[in-house]
Amino acid sequence: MSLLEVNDLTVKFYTEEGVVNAVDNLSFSIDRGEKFGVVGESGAGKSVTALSVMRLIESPGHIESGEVLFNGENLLEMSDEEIRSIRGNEIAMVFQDAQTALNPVYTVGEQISETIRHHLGYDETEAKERSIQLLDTVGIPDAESRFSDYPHEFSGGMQQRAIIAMALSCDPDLLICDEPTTALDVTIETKILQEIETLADEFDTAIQLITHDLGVVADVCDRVMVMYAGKPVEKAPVEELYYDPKHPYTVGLMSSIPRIGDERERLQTIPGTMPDLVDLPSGCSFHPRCPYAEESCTRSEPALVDPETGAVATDDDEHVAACLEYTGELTDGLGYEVTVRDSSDDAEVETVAGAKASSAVDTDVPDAGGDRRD
Amino acid sequence: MPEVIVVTDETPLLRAENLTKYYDSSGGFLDSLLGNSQDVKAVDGVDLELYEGETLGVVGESGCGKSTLARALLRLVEPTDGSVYFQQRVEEDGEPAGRREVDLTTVSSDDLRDLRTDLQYIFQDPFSSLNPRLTVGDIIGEPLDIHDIATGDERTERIYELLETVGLNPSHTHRYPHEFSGGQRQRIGIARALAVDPEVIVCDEPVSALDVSVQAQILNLLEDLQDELGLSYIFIAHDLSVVEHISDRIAVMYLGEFAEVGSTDEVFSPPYHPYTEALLSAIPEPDPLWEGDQIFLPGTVPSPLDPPSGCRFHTRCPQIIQPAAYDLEQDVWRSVVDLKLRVKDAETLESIATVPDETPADDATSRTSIRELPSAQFESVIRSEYDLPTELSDSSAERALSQAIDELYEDNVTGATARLDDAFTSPCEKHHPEPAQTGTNHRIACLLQDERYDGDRFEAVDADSGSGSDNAVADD
Repeated sequence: MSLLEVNDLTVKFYTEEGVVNAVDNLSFSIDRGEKFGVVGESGAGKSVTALSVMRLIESPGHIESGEVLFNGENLLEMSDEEIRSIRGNEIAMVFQDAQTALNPVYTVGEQISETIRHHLGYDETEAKERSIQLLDTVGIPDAESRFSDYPHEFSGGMQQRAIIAMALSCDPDLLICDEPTTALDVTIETKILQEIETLADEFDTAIQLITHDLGVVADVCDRVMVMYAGKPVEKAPVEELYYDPKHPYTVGLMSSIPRIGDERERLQTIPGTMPDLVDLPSGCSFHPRCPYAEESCTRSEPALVDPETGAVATDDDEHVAACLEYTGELTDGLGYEVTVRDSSDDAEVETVAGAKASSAVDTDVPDAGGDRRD
Repeated sequence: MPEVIVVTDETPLLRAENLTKYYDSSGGFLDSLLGNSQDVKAVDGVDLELYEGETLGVVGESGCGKSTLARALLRLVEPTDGSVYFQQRVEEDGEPAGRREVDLTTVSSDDLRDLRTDLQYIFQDPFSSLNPRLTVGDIIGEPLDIHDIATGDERTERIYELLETVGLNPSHTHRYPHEFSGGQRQRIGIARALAVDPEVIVCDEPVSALDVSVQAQILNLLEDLQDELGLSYIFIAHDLSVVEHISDRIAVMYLGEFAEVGSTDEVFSPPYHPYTEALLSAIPEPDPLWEGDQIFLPGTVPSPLDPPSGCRFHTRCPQIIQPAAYDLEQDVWRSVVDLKLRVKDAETLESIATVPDETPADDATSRTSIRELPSAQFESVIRSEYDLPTELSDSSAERALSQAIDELYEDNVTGATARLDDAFTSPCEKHHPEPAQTGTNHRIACLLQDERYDGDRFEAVDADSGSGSDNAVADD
């Protein structure tokens, strides 16, 4: 049994502009001790997915349907009291913005001790001892005197470390990290990521890492889910996703990253932006931005299938993608190729999205293009 | 992509000399009355040149002074010292008539306002840099009004044209900023900068708030505009791969100073400045099988209130030079310096090392203070905290170290500080590195590149009398 199993989760936000389909029929599972990455642009529904697992969706948001099984129990059917004993205890979360995640009027140490006292029933002194140990574990120098510092006395990297200490304080089974390093410098980023990895290995904690940075995912994760407009478009083990991406969106994301030592003069882009989630495009939601889109893409919505067989994805499938190509509904196929350059000491993957000669569908996005209209 | 500019006798379009910006960090009137004022040395004596049609990238960690540099260059903040020379276009009877040099730091505010038509700025945050109460048309039209560039139909025409140039739909003129996505807003910011037909645009982290796919669109747009309009960019970013992609030349900044300046190829290949090398190794590669040798920098960027002596990077540098007397393993030497720096800052013994969890024999929740440990255990705790071997390979270094640890054991922190300072002082702490020429346009400010360093030892010619002039600000 998986540690976390999300089945057919649908989350909607009822706003004045209309109903936002933030997450649509999403399923995934995370095994014990596994590092699972969730990738996508802003607005893809990554954070909403994480918040749903923690049951932190607030009005006007609403979890419409689906189930979130944690150790076999459905979190969505639990009472408030039951979910509180799981939150922060068995499932912990590291937020993107450490500064706002910490309460400015309490000392950092007090905020960590509070969690420990609440969930583990430690008394005041025991909780303090444990907090200092944790601060030391996450690499905060001079933890003993830092315990009574306020959040503003910590640097950005140290604040994030404190949040990680708090998240690990109750030895959770699942740690959800929502863009944990986006606000940090690369030098700090590598250290924090390594910290998360070693600590997760040490405590045998599963990680759900949400990020838009494919470099970070490659570094940390075992398995990856790529999301677009509230839906998963590809799920694969990390090597397969990078060396053999199956969905045009994944390819677009990969090829738009500038790389060191890369001779390309222009970056490949995904034209346009994420569609309005109130009014999703018909058929495949990616079709207005997809260089390989055909007539059929505007009509039928692709299901997640096994790219080899075209059969509807089952739980046993390692690599699945949602593109009509794999059910034989595209006439011209996908025109990209992936080359793995093996230079002297390290291999490099270069994904080149080749544009198709004629595109059957007009891309009428206002922001049309990395390629400007002249 | 613009050609790599080879510096000949061509005059740079924009040139900064010894540009300096200190912020006063005193708490206010009382502090300054009591003489408590302290300066935050955000930018400290930076020299830079920007040639026509090129992109100069400036990278560094947060807090290194990149943004202050950008603002000081265009006098959006008043520089404390130094000059910024700009070759202004001169027109006579509507005809271009060469250029003349103006010093931006001394021109009157009226003249500065005129110069804004040549020098423009794109801000980092596309959400706070656009006035939410103005329509897109008015945002872009504002510079046209201020500088009397166009009115009436001509103005409308120009706004349409600019929107189209940056890839937005001209029919969106009457929309408000909140109706646009982050990438589209950044395009509006670019259109506003282009409105006055500038020559130089300073881009302050223009893509760091954007998704990768949108980031790529904006980078391509900036490059296209450069080709089309012959713009010169100063491109500030913390992401080395972005800077590498867009820049012709790169400056690496650390604590208010340039550590390295050179063409993109030079900066990205040896010889490296140790800081650049660490930054390069830290970039996460989008390749799951990639195994890089990541260089971890200890600690964080020190406070610019009181920057480290000598080379500002010495507190974190993995390649810090050893005194001529020793021959230690480089990482052991680094650990010795770490210990020394910590002891120097320490107020109490507890802040130097904490007892690891396993050591106390009794229950796990009660923590023994380090001062309750027996002497031998105390020593091993200190050594393991700083990854020092049980014995240093060099006997005189070992002697000094163990004496210092003994002094710490006797709670004599001052004594230990003095002893460590005496025995372990790197040339990097004493000498401020001058930018050394390592290629035609490549300058590295590191003692490893200094001619006094022979590949193994740093020979300071009469170290004591010479150190005075080293600390003086002098770099050309």
